[in-house]
Amino acid sequence: MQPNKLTALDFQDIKSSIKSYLRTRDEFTDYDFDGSSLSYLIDVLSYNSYYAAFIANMSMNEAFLPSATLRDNVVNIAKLLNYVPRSVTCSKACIKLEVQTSKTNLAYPSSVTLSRGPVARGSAYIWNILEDITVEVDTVTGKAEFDAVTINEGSIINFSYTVNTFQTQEYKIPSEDADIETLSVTVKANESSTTSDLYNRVETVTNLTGNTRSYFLSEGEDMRYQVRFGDDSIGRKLKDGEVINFEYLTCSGAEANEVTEFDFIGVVTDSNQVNVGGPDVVLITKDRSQMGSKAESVESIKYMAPRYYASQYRAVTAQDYAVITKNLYSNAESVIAYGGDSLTPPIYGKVYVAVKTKTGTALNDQSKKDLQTKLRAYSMASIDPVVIDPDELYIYPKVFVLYDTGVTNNTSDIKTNIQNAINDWATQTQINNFNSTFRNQQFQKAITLSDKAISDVSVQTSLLKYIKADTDQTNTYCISTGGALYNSAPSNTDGACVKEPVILSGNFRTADRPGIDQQFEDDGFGKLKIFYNTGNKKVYTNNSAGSINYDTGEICIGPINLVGTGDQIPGPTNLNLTDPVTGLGEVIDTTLLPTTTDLPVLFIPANNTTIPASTPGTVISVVNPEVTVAPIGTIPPTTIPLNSLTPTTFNTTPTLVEVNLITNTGDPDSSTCF
Amino acid sequence: MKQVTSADLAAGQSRYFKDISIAFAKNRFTDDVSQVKNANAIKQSIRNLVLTRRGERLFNGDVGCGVLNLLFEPLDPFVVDTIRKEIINTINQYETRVQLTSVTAIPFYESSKVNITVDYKVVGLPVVESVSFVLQRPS
Repeated sequence: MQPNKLTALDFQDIKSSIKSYLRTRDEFTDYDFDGSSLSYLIDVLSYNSYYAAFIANMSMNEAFLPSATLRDNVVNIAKLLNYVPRSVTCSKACIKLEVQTSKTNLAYPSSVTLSRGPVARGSAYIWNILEDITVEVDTVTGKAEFDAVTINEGSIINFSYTVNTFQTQEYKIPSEDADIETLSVTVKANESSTTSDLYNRVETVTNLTGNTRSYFLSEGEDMRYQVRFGDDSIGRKLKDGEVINFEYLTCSGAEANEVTEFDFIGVVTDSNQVNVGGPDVVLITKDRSQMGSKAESVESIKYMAPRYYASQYRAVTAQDYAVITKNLYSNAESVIAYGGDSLTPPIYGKVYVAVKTKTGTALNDQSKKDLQTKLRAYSMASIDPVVIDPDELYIYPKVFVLYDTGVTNNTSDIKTNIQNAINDWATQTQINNFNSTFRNQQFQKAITLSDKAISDVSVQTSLLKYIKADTDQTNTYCISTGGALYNSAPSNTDGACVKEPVILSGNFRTADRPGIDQQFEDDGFGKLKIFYNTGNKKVYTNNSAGSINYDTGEICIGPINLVGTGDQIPGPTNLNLTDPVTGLGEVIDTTLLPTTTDLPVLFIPANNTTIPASTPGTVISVVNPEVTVAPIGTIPPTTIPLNSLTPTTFNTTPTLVEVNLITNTGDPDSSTCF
Repeated sequence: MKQVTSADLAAGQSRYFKDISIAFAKNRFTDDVSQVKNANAIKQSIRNLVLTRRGERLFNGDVGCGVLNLLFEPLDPFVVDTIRKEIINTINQYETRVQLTSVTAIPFYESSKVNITVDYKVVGLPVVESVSFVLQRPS
């Protein structure tokens, strides 16, 4: 008999295959009875085959990048592509230290030095600087200022190896939570030597000579990185007796993000070798801690390694920029890059890189410049990479659900199920990202299937964008929805042709009327009108405050001089009002105003079934919807939210639906294969 | 009328049962592993089932009997009765070739042993067979 089902991997399949064989023989007949000895023997045979088949299958799967699941194997394959997975990244914060020195021999010291090592404690974490910082002291006041000091969370670790060329040595960083960005490798001639050479990390052999002090880094077993040195042909080879010192930070990654308060614990020494401390050092937090992240996940390595290899360490296509940016900036959740030639009007010679951060905040100017500088090293001559913020377009769905009272009356259960279904839908569609499209049908279907009691689902959809305005400047601000806006039908009221507004802004204050909250809306015919609300009627203050194009969704408001929006408005003591009823007056001290302010604008799209990203740099973000549950028979509201726009609820950035990461830690226990 | 016994099962019946001897003894004539046949195969099967713990069988955790675990309980009439029921349930569930007639469990309290006698009929044959064995804690 020919063996059948050679591809059987399941225990029961293998067992039935053996039984099929025994059926063709007459030596034994009792294979079908659980109590027979033959049955016991078949079990052992099947188990053995199953084990061997599993090992064979697992081995082959683990040999290829797309099918490998264990981290060490994925990393080993990525190593062949010269890809170094990102390590844990330590959280960083920015602080300022104001130091008051004291006189020695009737004179203030000339400088003060903040010593490397721990400088602050914040939220049970220790924060360090990696190098000494020295600043000059004001000779008159005796004050010194350490401005914009970047502090890193973690513990500084020093680890040494003595080179022994008579045996095979591996130089491993003995911590799995080491941030390799902070790794400093120095080599000194022997134990007693007081000077050392600093070695730099290199990724390619280009420009390396036999004397170059350099090292290669790769991830080894159990997430411990391995350092390899040259061979006197490509990079300097280490000599017997030399001492290698690794200094790096081990840290808690993303857990230490969002810390805002720090206590000073560092050492400040003045030029007279007097320690300054206690109340003489004032710590001011400039930026909360951020950019800490976990080590790169297995899924990410599997995705990035071949793409990084394909870009060959140089950015030629737009996709190359996106891949390299993700590798350079670990806080990037997703990156999209596109040539300026694809814009209208085209901008030649520039590649735009839009970065969506994991923390959700926009990159500050310094981070953008740093990233641009790093990217320029990869880019072709004459191509200028420009790092920009993504264009955020929020979708605000309001969900009305009718449920069958014959099935359940527990509306809180229905709401919970709906919320879970929306989160699942968000994860599956990977919304809140570049190149995503909001599809209302899918959204409604997910909600419909979330609970058997749900009979009807109706969704009101409006779009939200923020105008990022500079305060105390007269500007015209334009935003674009990227799609047509709803054009309401005219109605004849008192002989005048009136259309319902389809756009409404949040509250704002202008420089000429700083005493009253105003809003703008459209007149239905292409113009924006500014008004304030007395409580029972709208008073229009400008009937031609801007323009709106219903076909393209372009909205321009201005010229307008904003001094505040939402809750960020000038205080009453900073106002000189000539007419408190109409809010006319002026701001007394404009320096007290925030430099920028965000004004929410809600509008109704012409097509609420499919809302795509209008430009490559647009991120579609879905706001956590407002869910209303009503028993069947209730009449659902109109799907076009005319006269029910509520932009003032978006004075602060809204909470978005949860998009869970699809990750695989590479731990066999959590792998879905077993 | 002649009384039918197990000796009459060897020939002329519609179905043979052939199994490997659990002792894996060598058949001195064939130099192969010994076989057990028919009534003896069924007896061996019953013993195997009763002496197999649940969870012992690979990927088939339900097969087996709980008597070996019960032997570690203080031996009293309730435990003896539970042992008896366990055996009845196991045989009824996994040995489809027989129809149980009776299961007798005789305890020896001093030595913590239980003598088991299982009487059964082979399905389709008017023969009453019996298998006896002693249960005691594995040492």
